[in-house]
This record gives sequence, C-alpha cells and structure tokens, in this order.
Amino acid sequence: MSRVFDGSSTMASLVFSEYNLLPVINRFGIRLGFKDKTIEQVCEENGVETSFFLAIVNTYMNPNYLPHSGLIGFSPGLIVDYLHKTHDYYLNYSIPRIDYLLDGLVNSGQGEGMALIRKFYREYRHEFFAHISDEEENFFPYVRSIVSGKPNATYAARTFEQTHTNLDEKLSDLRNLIIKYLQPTYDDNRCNEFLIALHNLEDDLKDHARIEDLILAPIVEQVEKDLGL
Amino acid sequence: MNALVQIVHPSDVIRLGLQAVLNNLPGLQVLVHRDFGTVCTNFCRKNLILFDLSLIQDFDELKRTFCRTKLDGVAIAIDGQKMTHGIANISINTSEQKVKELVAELLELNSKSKPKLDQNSLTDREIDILKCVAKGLSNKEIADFLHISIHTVITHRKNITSKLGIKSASGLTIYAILEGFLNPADITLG
Repeated sequence: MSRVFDGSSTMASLVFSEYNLLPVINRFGIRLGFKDKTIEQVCEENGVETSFFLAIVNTYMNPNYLPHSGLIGFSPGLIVDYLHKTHDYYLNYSIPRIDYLLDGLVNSGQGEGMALIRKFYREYRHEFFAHISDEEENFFPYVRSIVSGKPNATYAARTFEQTHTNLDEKLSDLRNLIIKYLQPTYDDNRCNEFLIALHNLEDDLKDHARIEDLILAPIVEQVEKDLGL
Repeated sequence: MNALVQIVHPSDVIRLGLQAVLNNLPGLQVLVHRDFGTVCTNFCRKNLILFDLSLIQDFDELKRTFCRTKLDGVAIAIDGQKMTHGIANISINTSEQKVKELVAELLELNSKSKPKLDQNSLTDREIDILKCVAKGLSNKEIADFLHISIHTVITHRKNITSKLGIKSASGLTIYAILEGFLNPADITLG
C-alpha cells in the first residue's frame, strides 16, 4: 500500500512517488513546473476540483483505495470527461506507440513465434478499439443523458456491466507469452521497450477499469434510482 | 521479499550483532526491537522471530494471535540458561555460521526451486484440454469429446490458467504452438 496523498502535499512529491502518474496529471490539463506548490494550489490554478483529482490519483496508486467520503458527491459527468480523456490518450499515444514498438520488435526477430505475437496483438487491438467505441458511443452518452435528467431509455448501466470485459486481461497474456515462452530471437532492447510500454498501458487500464467499476457504476446506479429507472 | 526476520532483544549488542549476521543472507527483511511491543505484524509469507529467552511468553501469545501465519521462533539464551524444548534455541556462544544455517533451515531458504517447476508444468490431461481449447472448441464440446463433465473441463482450464498465467483462448493457442503441442496448420487464429 503506497501513501495516500492529500491536498497539502506538494504536487512535485506526488510525481516523485509515482512517475506513471505523469499522463494522469496531464489529463487534468496540469503541466509540470509546479515549484513547491501544493496539490490544492495547483488544482485551483488549473480549475480542477481537488477532491476529484485526489480520488483519481490515490485510486491509481492504491488499488484498494476508495474515496469513502463524498463518493456519491462527484458528478458522473466529471468522471466521464476524465475517462474520455484517458481514451484519447490511449488512441493518440499509447496504442500508436505500442504499434511502433511492436513493429520494431517483430522486425528484429525471426520465426513463427514473432508472427504469432503480432497476430495476437492485432486481435487484441481490434477488441480494444471496439470496447472504446462502445463506451464512447453508448455508455458515456447514456451517463450524460441521465445527468441532464433526460435519460436515454435504451441503455442502462446494467447493460454496461454485462458487456464490459476486462481489457487488461489479454495484455497480461501477451506479457506472459513473451517473457515466459517466446524464443528470444529478437533484439533485447527493442523487446524491453515494448514490454515496458505494455506494462504502463496495463497499469493504466487497470486503473481505468477500477474507476469505471468502483466509482462510476455505483454513482450511475444511484442516479438511476433517484430518477426511478 | 518473502521472508521477514525480527530480532527482539533488550541487549543492544546482541540485537545489533545478530542483525549484522543476518543482513548477509539474501532475500530477508530484518527488523530489530527491544521488546515485543513494536514487533511488526504485517507478516510475509515466511516469518521468523529471534527473541530473548525471557520473552517466550510474549512470543507464545503472538503465535496464538496469528495462528494462521507461518511464524517460527528461535529463543536466545545467555550462557548457562536452561534451553527450552519445543522451540529452536541458540546461545550467545553459537557461531555465526550455525546461526545462519539455523535461520536458513527454518525459513527453507535453501530448498530447491525444482519441485516448483514441476508443479507448473501441465499434466497430460491438461495438455489434452489445452489442445482442444486451441482448436476453438467450447467447454461443452471439449467435455463431449473427452467424455468428461463440463465441470471437470472448467476445473482443468482454471488450473491451466493459474499455471501458465494465460487466460484467453487465443493466448493459450499461441502457447500451445510455441511449446510444440500443436501444429499451426491445425488451427485458425481468431
């Protein structure tokens, strides 16, 4: 269990404790150069709700952390906006980068194993895009519709939970296949770069799933109840 | 770190001396305390406490409280004190080498990793199931094909996944090809 941060910690100490938070912080429109400002000060300057920011970063660092106080207090719209930004990050940065690193890895090696790994990744990539577009086209608009009080009746959070699969599962399969079973015919440095990028995406996806399942879904259910759905 | 060693002794010399001896052993986290009040109960997979013989009641109580934890103890006797039965003992005259050997033995630090490797390789039956999964058969089809219950198929699949760390059917397919259980011509990947 890592440390739980509050608004009086400095923003720099947060980054020092977990470099993988850098893209998370960027998603809030916050950029580096904080001097010794506290998390609260930096959030205020950037128009970010501090308690929401803390809930997101603490969830990221502690898989078991849940913001007990005021869990229901966050606007579902705020959470959806954040999740939408993480999707942008995956589509515009993580996936293209992994595509590029995988090409380098596959081209540096030889044999059938490399081709299989590429095939597995392509299959995964396809599912990944389908998953994201389902959330963007169906789930998020639904959440926004109930927030505005005019629910789109064709979709419910229950549907979401049923169709929602774990996107990080196949990534961990891919990691296991390469680390444990693939013949190392490839360039080691290219492989390491690829695995590290994969690992970062896997961590980010786990966090993304936790926010959806443990924070967003219960809030949406509560709003549905209040609306008598 | 999967082993936690704690030294509980009022004497600075003994406590810090033992710490210096044990710090050379790999894979151990070593903590020192004057008494049981500060002992860390955030236990690891394997735990050992070396304590002054006079503190044996404190140790027994800790062991009762955490009866489900693997927790061993070594009593440290001053020269001339009577050793206790039922627990490992050292005295202040015990050599450095003997202390290390005892700690390594109690924490099973020297046990070979070989049995673990065997545990993680698939059984013949699991390989049969794996081949079926790789060919794209459903659990029901596998059950019919191998004349076993669907429940048994599911149990085998769970065991395969926990041994290999691979959950998805397509991941298992690639594993089967990489390990030579299957000819890639036999299957079509999703």
